[in-house]
Amino acid sequence: MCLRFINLGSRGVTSCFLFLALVSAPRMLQAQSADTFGFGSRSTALGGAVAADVSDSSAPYYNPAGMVRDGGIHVGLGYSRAYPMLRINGSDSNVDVVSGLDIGLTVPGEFDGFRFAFGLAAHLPDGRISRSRSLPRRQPRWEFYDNRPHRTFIATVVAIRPLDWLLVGGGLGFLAQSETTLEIQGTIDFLSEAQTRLESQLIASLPSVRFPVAGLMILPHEDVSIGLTFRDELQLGNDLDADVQATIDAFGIDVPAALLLETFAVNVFVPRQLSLGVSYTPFEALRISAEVTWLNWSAYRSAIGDSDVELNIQPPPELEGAIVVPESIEPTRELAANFKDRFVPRIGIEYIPVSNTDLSVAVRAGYYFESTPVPDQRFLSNLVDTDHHTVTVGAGLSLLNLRPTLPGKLSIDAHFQWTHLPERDTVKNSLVDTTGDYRAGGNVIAAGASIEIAFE
Amino acid sequence: MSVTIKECSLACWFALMLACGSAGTEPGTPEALPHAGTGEFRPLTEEETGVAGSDGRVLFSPGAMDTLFVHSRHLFFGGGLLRTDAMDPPSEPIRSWVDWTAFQSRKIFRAVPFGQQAFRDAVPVLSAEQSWEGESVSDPCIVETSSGQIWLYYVGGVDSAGQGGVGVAVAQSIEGDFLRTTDTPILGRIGGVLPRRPSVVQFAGEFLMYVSVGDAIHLARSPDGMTFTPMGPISLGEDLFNLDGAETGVTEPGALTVTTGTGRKVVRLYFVSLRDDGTRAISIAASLDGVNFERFQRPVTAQTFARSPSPVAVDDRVTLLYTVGTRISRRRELGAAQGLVTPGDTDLSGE
Repeated sequence: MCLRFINLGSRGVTSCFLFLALVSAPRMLQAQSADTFGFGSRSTALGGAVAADVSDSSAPYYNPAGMVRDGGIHVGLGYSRAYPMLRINGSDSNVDVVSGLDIGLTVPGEFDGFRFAFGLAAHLPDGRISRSRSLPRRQPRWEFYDNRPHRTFIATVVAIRPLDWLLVGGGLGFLAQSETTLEIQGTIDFLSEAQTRLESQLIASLPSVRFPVAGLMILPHEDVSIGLTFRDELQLGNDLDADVQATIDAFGIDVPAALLLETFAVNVFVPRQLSLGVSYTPFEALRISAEVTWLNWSAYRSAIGDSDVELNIQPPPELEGAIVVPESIEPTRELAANFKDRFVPRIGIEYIPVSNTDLSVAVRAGYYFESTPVPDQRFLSNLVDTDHHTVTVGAGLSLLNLRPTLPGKLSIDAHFQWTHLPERDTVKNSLVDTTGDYRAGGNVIAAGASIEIAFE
Repeated sequence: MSVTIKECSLACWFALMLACGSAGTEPGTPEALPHAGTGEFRPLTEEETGVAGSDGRVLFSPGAMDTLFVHSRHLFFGGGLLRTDAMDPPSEPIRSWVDWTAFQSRKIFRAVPFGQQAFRDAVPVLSAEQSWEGESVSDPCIVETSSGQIWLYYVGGVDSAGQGGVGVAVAQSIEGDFLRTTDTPILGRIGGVLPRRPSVVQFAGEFLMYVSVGDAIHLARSPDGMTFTPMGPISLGEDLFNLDGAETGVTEPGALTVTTGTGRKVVRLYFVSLRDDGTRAISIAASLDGVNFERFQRPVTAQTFARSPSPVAVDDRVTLLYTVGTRISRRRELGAAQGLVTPGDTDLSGE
């Protein structure tokens, strides 16, 4: 039995490594920055239409099966930055800039003629590791740009190539949700701040949520490839419990009081999705890819969470009538999101005008359309979204003859992305809705660059 | 060549590391969230009124005041000055609203802007002169026409003398002199009841006048703003708010027309809901046609004795609501102009 990394000649790795990798490595941390703005400059410049046409360091994200397509280790590092310019009723929504590092790694190998690869992809936001915030349901928020892109994304997957024309990859992803418990105990003295004593304890945990991913690539002809990818759904909850036990000193009379608050909201929902893509190379310098993705947004329950409040105040006899304690506090119940599934068509074109033994130059363009899954917000909720038209362009320079400095090629890619969100009117059913009607739309521009080393 | 490639690679990596080295920032907050002007209003603060001291929330209190209307930062109100021969004030404050017997006949006054949101220097701009007006005029309402004229609708005969009704006077500017256009009321008594507190808006190519008639609000329509046809009482929708007792009537309309963020034209009608426990709850209803209203099922303010709501749309999200509140002066309960604003996160202190 031998283990050999393709074209690398490494021989010091034992079979244990393979075993451990196959058992424990297939984990993917699915983030929405990549879903929204793409991952890696080449794939982003092609409009993300790469399920059938990816073998670089972005393969672990787009289609892990692509990791065993070309062979060779790919190490990529990129940086992207997106500027949402979104407005509601003409006012800037001040949606946060999304930026961070994209890191990709694919390591193919061969085990007794059996070809496989490990992959790693990560998006590390440079502003914050993660962001969660719950907003009042009446407050309009850009559903796809609020919390969603602000997530750290790490993916490790494996792929195998059982047949020359069949490539299969997959993994299991996880992401952390938030569970927080706040406990406060003590005495509140209305007349003396110094006599007020409150002790608090905050317990926060981030249990993981797991979901599977899989990819398939079929190569029926040297000029044609077909890709199929699947990602299961993911719901990240935001669970907050508060337990307040206090004695209120009301002018010398102790009034025991207790407040119990329990809230739960789905902070981020990633729908189950299935992509089918095809890539065609009519001649060597041109490659055209098309893809359609189904996203199961109809499974989204609600962005508006449940909350239960229990207030227990026991006024002493001398304060009967002076303190009115409500018998119950109306709980908040989640509102059905009623999202609808959507199909996202994508197209990407790559043209290589210059190609010789030393270098190659590629220019790329792409387009995709995302119809909004968000229904008209005619009632209490205010999840803002419109259709998305995204145009991408990019270019890449590959230096092919770098020996002896580098036994492989060095690629530098850049992309620019423009997403137009045509204005959408939200007309409330109720004329006395406190939020009222609004018109939302705008643009998002993003740009990035990446550098990748592909070892021979 | 190899050195160049190394340098190039190192430079790229270094640049990428620098690019992602920026520090995180606080989550952005929207410049302005949409708001419909419904929901709860909060009182203006001292910083917003520009009036310091215990009367910090009083925008103007010249004496007796029964109704008010604000237009272009000018306050119009119906009020009277204390009579020189007024009887001594009672030993206990009069809690039954203004004791008009102690004041001169009501006139319509105009006060100019003062400070942030307050007013000062009230001068009378219209007094009872015609026989149908009796001895008093009150209940001002201003409409600015497309030509810039200021039309002042008012009620004559509020002291029960004279025929009474709604009249109109015109000025060429907000600080101009008002001249009557007719010597008869443009809207007389309805069912023998004097209409009070007219609120006139231009909507869908016509003038709509909402008036209090007894404990109901009636609508009158006009193509030109000068001749109105009574259309009868309007329904403001079912009242489901009963924490303060059942509703016994609605009165004192204050209308406002707005264009929503999607271009819908809406009439918003603020009004006083009279409760069976004697309190008054200022409420709001809205309509797409000015006739059929949908009601907001909570009072817009916790104040239970405010009167004469007069709304002003500051912009497409901020609404000011002026009311007549109470103020005790020399043991007499007087009216005082007060201001409320929504949404609550609005800060008018810098204006």
